Amino acid sequence: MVTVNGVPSLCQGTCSYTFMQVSEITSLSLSSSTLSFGISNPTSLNITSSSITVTADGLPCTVNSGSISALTCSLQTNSDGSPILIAGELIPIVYINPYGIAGPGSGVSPINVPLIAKSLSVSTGGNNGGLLTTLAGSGFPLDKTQISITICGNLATISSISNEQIILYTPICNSTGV
Amino acid sequence: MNIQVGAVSNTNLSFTYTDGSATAPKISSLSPSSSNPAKKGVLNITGSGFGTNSSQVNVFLANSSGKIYQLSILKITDTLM
Repeated sequence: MVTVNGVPSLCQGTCSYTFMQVSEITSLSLSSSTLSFGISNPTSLNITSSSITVTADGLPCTVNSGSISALTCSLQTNSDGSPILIAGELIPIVYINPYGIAGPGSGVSPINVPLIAKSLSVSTGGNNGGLLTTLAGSGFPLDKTQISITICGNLATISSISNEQIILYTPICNSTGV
Repeated sequence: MNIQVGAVSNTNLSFTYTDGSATAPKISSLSPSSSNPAKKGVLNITGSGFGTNSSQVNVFLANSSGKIYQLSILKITDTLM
């Protein structure tokens, strides 16, 4: 439907659109930085792996050539080779050209990406705040508006962020201690 | 420390606060105390404990939206920047 300032448009030709579920994700697993997945009806679609585009957490996952019945793609990686994945439940977006997006089948479980905090470069400081410290871990989003870090109940100010490291300023705290 | 990403959180790490009043630099006044954001100018900060080495001091202004601006230090003494 098309509306202009709330007024529905009239149809003067062929205006119907039919949604078709041509394929869906039937399996999903992660090993290191490789995502393995299957799609339903792979042979009847008459496609090759080059017809498939995959996005995971907003980043392209490069589809590897191979059997259309056992698909894999390579996730983008951090400098240490670990995959760039954001904490939470991951269902990749699988686009099949020219059919559209294959949604997850009913039996497919999302991949759970943990939020890991490993260390703080400086873990003690004055309660006036403003101390610069580096948080190391994994599962951090690449956009600092998608994460909140509170210390002593107050929001820390994030200076920079990557999937495995956050540089932040400590907030003020009205008390001392942990 | 509480880290929150969507519905996922992590509280494994902690940060220990110490009494910062003894060592913190203190600000007693700013001049001017307000200014047109479109206009560059000089801000005088009076206080104590600033030191004399500008490379060890960072000065920031934050607006009400949380956007942080770093200022350049033109001159520093222990009581005036």
